[in-house]
Amino acid sequence: MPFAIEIENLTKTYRSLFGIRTVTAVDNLTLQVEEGEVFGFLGPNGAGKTTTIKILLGILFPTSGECKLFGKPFTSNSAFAPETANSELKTEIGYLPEGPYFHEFLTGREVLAFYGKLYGLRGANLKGRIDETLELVGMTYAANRYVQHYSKGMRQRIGLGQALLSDPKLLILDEPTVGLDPIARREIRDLMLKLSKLGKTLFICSHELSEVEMICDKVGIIHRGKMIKSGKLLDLILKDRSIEIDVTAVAEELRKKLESMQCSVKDNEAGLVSIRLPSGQGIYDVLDVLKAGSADVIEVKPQKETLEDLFIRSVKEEVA
Amino acid sequence: MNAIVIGLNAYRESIRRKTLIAFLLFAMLVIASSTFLTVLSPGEEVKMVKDVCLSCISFFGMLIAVFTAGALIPGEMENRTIHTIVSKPMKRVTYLIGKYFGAQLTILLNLALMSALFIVILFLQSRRYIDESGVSVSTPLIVIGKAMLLVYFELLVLSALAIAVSTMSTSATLPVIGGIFIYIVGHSVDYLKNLSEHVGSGLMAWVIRQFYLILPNFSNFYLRNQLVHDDPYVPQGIARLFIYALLYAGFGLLIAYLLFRKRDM
Repeated sequence: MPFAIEIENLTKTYRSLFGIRTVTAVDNLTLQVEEGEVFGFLGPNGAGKTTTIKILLGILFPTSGECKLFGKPFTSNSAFAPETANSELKTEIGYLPEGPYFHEFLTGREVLAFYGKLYGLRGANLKGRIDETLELVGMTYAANRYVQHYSKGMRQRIGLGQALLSDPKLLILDEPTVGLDPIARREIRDLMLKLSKLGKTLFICSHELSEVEMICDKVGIIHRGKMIKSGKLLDLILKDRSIEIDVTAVAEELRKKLESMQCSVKDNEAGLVSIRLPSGQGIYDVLDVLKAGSADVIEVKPQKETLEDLFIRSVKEEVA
Repeated sequence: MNAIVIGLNAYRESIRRKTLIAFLLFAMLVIASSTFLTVLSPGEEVKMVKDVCLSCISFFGMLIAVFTAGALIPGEMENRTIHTIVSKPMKRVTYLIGKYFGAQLTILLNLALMSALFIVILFLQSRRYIDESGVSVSTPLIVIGKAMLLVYFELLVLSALAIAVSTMSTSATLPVIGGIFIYIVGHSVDYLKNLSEHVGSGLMAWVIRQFYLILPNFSNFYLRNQLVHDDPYVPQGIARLFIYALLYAGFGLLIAYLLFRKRDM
């Protein structure tokens, strides 16, 4: 099965008017997203995430490299290539930009009608799709209000609606939950999970790492235009897993024995002693030692690295 | 079909723009008050009204065309609406043609409103003159129709050139200034010919002559004499002028497309 998104050696360099100054926003980026996958595309501000997305959508043109969508070449940097030999492929893509903006003089329903017509939808088919989409994004109640009177969350929902109109196979979402209140955030997240269950491929660019951790199968971390870490989320965060055991008290002899097993033993703020097992150390060996030393075990806590930890560590390592 | 969708949306957007509404209202005010200016030229009241109104429609038509066509694309780039539109299954040429179509609808609406007021004012002013002279009402109407049609041909060209300039810009300032410059130069093309014949330097004469040959001659579209004398005869022919305008508009749109097709947004 071809990849939903396949990016090979993508580079985008911006040049000043006379080519004196150049800025490389995306540097030899390669990534693949399988069909039906939820991919989190992460990176600090100015890392090149939005530039990559814009190249994927044909809004920007790459300096070099190639993008394929569902196995078909999508963008080319050739000046003589057909303008968009990818017009048909675009019906398979839904795009929600960061902080979407729509014509203020249109109502929510008119916004969807405008974009629906651009997808070639007409008449009863268009009306049906608009009604379904409004229902899906929870905007039926405000469909006839002008966009200028919409809150940020409502604009975000209508933005998601216009991306879903053509029932696309691939959804590219740039900061889908930014600026939303907790309830709206939860609803958008549930909607993304629902879309994922329907078999859609989701390519999510976000700073909300906890959200990404909850819904993504795979992540890619980009920094200064380069992919610094990518893979299945669980593989990445479990790679550095360790276990922490809280006990009531540890005698000096027991403490020395644990330290000889490469365990870190520290008093914590709760008045307990935390024993952190090194990666690869068997838990039962340590529990046996604790039992022999008559230490009371209060809690055994698997220490999983969060996506935030992984993200910050990866970026810091790259900077160093 | 997508061009029509884009065009109708652009039209809805343009007719709500405060700058354009202000231009239209000001133009209507000038046209309506042209009757009061007739005191400046006793005995030539009707001529004065025609002169003032035609100049006003041409000038404000130019401003409306330039501000409409020049601002549509940069406006959508500025507020980033263009990103969601271009990501839809549509070629960029369709987007450009759609915007041009929307600009034409806006220009036509404004021109129709200004022309209607002009006709009303002119007939109120000349009623007595027509009664006395027995001149047919239909003759001035035909001439006014032709004059307005030619003003529209001029705006057809000007809006295409303004769109071409706007595809290079991220704000409406450059296309507006560019459009006004083209309008002024386009009305001075005959002077350029004279200038090229009288300028001393050979190179300068050649450069000026190239400008004369390349730039559209907007004075072809200005039927002042015919309007003043109620003469429906257009020496260049309406059909030929239409083709002339279409060629220049097509050239403008071709330049716009070449600049826009691979533009990063």
